Amino acid sequence: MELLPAAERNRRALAVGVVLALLGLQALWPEPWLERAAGRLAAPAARVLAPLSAWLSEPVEALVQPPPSPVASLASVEEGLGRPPRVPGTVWWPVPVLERRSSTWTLGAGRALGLFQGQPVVFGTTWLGRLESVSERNAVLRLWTSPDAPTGAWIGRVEGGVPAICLGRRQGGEPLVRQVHPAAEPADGDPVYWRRREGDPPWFERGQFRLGFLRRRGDEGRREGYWAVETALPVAAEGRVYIGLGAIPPDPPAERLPERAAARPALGADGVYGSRLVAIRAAAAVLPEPTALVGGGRVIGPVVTARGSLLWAAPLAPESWPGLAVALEETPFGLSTEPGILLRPGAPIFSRGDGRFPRGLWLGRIGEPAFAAAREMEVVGR
Amino acid sequence: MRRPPRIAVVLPAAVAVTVAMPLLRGLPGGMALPDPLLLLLLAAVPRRLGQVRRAAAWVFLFGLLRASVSAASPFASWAGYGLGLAMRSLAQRYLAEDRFLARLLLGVCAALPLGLLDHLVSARLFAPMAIELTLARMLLVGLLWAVAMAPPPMRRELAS
Repeated sequence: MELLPAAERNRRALAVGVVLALLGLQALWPEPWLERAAGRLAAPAARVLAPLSAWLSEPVEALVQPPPSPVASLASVEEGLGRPPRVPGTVWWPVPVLERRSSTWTLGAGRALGLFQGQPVVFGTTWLGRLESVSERNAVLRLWTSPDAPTGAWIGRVEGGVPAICLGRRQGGEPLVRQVHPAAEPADGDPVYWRRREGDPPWFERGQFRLGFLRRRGDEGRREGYWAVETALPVAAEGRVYIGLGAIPPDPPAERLPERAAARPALGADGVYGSRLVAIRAAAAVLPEPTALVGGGRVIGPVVTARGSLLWAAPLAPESWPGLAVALEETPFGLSTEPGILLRPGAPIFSRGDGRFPRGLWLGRIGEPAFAAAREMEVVGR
Repeated sequence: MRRPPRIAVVLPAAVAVTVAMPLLRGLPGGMALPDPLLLLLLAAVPRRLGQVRRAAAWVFLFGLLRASVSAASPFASWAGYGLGLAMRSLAQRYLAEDRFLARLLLGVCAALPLGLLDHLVSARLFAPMAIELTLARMLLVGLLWAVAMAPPPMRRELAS
């Protein structure tokens, strides 16, 4: 065997070491586009070898179906919860929320449905804000809690209460209450209602839309006390909001429904992680970004890897859902939505919607086990 | 020094092993089995890394094959296989292969990077692996390597 000179050997060893270290780093802290490119590289091999492997170990066909959702859909619950009180001359129109940021939400309706800038947006008796900008098919709602939206308020009660101005703060801080009359004596815990501004129809105040509750904050001993509003934005409002219109528009607003594609089991087990992962084959080419596997109407788990039309999903129990979730809780007043996952066993939960998963996917009830397959499966994508 | 098996033998064997991997993992106790492609790679690549390009080609091919039947990232496979070969090469400088324990240690060293990477990546795939399974995989690679690479007289003794 011909040995390389020492320097050349060291150079090669260094180069190999660097390449291997980079590969290791990519494996541990993956760059999504590189993973996608490598997945595409492995897709042709998967197309040939996975069917052979499936022939060797037949995937198990499921016989049981998961329990169905207690409600038709999360959207129907949101629509029922969010209907505002009757206001003369106003038709409340439910509009889906397409995207949420900290201060603004993008809504699925625009000028085509008669929306205009400055229009009030509410959910039930909760005041949310006004339309900041309107395009043909979309509108942007500026939440009243954002720093750039001073909002008139009545403290205590509407018409006859203490007038004030609420100013939102950055980074989700409680809105401040300013310009309270010096002679007024508001109390901690007083309800704070929306007050109309010039140009708003006067009858809107009859809706008694609430901003939150008045709270005394700061250190009184150092004369640093101030009034703030404790807000409670309903979680259900993150799905749809209501906009007051003069007449019923001709077309319904644009719903952002998740993309779906039928799926079937592809492999008996994963080649490395065994039966902890489910391999499925789906017409995933129609899905730009497959995110979750749904079986019998319930989410089986998130899609973790794709190699062309071959996908892998991780079956998870409802409480282990990696995205945000919303629970439907029974209350004396009907169903209400609560943020996060409650630990009460049996609470039904849905996906809350975030950058990765669409809103309203039925996740199951807290305490239910994970299930790996169902008779009818589909992949949901964004 | 043993000659590595020929391409005409290794390639079909690698494909057959890849096809059988989901079946093996689905068996009771299959999760503890060592990675069969790693064993094949260790056998296919000469123990002294004189030909880096050839070794890299095998690593690339085996990584792709592994990724075709698993959710494991091809990068984890490439890094695991490549580092495994490098670890084996490094360990060989210090260990005499005529002793069982030395060969066992050599095999464990070769399985260590892939085992660790699979273990770490599993949490991200929502399929966390118990550390015992990872250790069992590495130890089994070491045991198989120690038995398979035993010098001929010792193998005869083991067989009798």
